[in-house]
Amino acid sequence: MRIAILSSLPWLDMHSYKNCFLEELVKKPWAQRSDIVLVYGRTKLSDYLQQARRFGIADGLMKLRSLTGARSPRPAVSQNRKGKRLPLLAAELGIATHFFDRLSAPECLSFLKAFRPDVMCNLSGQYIPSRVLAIPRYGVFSAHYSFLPELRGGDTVRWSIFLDRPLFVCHMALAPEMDMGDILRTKRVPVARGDRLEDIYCRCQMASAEGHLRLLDDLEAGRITRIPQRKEQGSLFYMMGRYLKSKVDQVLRENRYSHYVEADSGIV
Amino acid sequence: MSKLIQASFSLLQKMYDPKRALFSYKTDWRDGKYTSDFSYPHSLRYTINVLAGLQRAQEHRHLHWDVDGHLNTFLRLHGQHIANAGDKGLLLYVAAHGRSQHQHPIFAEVRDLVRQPERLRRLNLQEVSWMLSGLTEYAVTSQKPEAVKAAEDLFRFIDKDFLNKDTMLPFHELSFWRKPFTPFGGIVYFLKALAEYSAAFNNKYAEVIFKEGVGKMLQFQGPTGEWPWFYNVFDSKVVDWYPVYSVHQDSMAMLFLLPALDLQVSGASRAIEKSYRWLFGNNQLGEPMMVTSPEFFIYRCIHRRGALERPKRFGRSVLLSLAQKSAGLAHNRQLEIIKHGRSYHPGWILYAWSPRKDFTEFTNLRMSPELKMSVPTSVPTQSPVQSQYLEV
Repeated sequence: MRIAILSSLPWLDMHSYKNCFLEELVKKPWAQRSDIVLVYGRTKLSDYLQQARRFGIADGLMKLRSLTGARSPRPAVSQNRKGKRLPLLAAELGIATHFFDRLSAPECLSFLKAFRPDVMCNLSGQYIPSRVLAIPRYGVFSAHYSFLPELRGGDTVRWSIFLDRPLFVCHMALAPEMDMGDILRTKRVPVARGDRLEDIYCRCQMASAEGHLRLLDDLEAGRITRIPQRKEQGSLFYMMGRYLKSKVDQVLRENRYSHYVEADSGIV
Repeated sequence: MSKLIQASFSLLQKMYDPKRALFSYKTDWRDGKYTSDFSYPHSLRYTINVLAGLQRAQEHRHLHWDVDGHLNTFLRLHGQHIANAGDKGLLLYVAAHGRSQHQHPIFAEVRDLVRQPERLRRLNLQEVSWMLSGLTEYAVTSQKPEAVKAAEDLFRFIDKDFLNKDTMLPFHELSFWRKPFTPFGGIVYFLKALAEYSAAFNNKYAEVIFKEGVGKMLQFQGPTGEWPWFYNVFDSKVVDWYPVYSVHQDSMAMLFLLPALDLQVSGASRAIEKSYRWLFGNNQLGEPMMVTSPEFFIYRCIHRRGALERPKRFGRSVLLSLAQKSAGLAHNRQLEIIKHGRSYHPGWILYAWSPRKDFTEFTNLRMSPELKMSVPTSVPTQSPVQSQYLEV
């Protein structure tokens, strides 16, 4: 199986879940390293600045703190977030890495077409242009951090907490319309009392990596199930501002979320 | 039919010129006589406003008024003068709601504007909100995918560019100088459009933004139920309370409070009561703003005395913002009542209250025991359209 892994912003790309994904992927008996390629879009300085503006200073600092492994006032899942820079790890594992300004750039499209991937795994967190979506035989798989089809869009971990819904990581085969692809896998993510947002994100990321690996296994075994979405089944949510973010923080601080999972619940 | 609807319709007929097919921009009531001004362009906007109210009242069987016929006449006489994008949006709402033949060309004009972000960015909050109301209504009635797409695109634009998500208050304009301050009226139409959009497309995101926006506004309501006029969008403070308009108190606030009540937003019911009770003397000056005897009339507002009201307000707002302070209520001696009325006021009353059966102390004007209304019994003879009461 030929697999293209899509990512972005290579200088910041040191999440441990991506490391785990890559390390586990190369252990699969059906995976040949020469059939796996890591492809980067959004590699320019302006892309980093745009990302910083999109997430705001507070979120950016939170992200940076978790990536640099800064000591937290109390132990958190997120302390394990820092991994090796993904291009370096890929090189160690013998996986080729290619950098492009944009995934939609003609040279990137030419490269991907020539590579003829069976599937792409999107770990970039970015919008994937429809010209890229059309290339792989089985589609571009991507993880979404909330329950689909109900809750589409961005900032969905916060929205799940704000709307007091259980948290899920859903994998889908991306479609041109945002978060409207066929649902491939749905997995509940536990949230424990005392969790901070970064802890919850960390669990979602690990669930994302695990889900991608399971899906590739299923694809290899020919047992993928696709559940199409209808637009009216959910709504598209957008990034929150400080006003709603502070409400979410307060819910977590005061342990008022209704879907905490106890240690013996069986959800891991 | 409630006394409020009856009285408002009666008042509207006095603000109407059948020859011009226009409702007035301004109407004075002095010495038992009504004097109206039908100046452009406000009379155009207010006529569309009133048509929306009449349409709603007719739909709920309170009265017969040939809205479609009136719309035809209005557009024949004045259609070429309607240039404002917001007016076109509200006109689209009326035309689409009434399944008028005019809805399709009006939709095409509004949709074309949505496709031009640079032009959209030059509009103000009221204009884009009315456009969204119109597109939403057209999308619901026509079920056309391009109409749904246009409404979605405009909603996304408003959400992204006009809403300050750090405070949940919308910008009135996107220009540098005007961006910090937004008036109550614009916020009303923004919230109204959100409520309509969320209901039409079952959009939970729009519903959350609506509910949170309403929750934010409830924090600003004054001690006697008054709605402040001017807000700083960046630091979420009132920068001027005045003028406090009657139309805001009894009907425009209801354009978001009544949908909020239906969505069980906490505090909406109490805010509604406080809001309309302001008209019956429960206000800063202790003066009734709605009089029912010998004729039904609603005074326009309580404002600060003196000239150059707008520049002074802007200056005061800038100074308060620089000092990061909220405005306080003025001393009573600095205030006065403006006693003329505008036709869009009873128009919005019809629109907001026609579907409602609650808050009967207000809709039956039980807070005005002296009520003695003159109710027309026949259709105005010169009217190009037919109108009469239905006995309900």
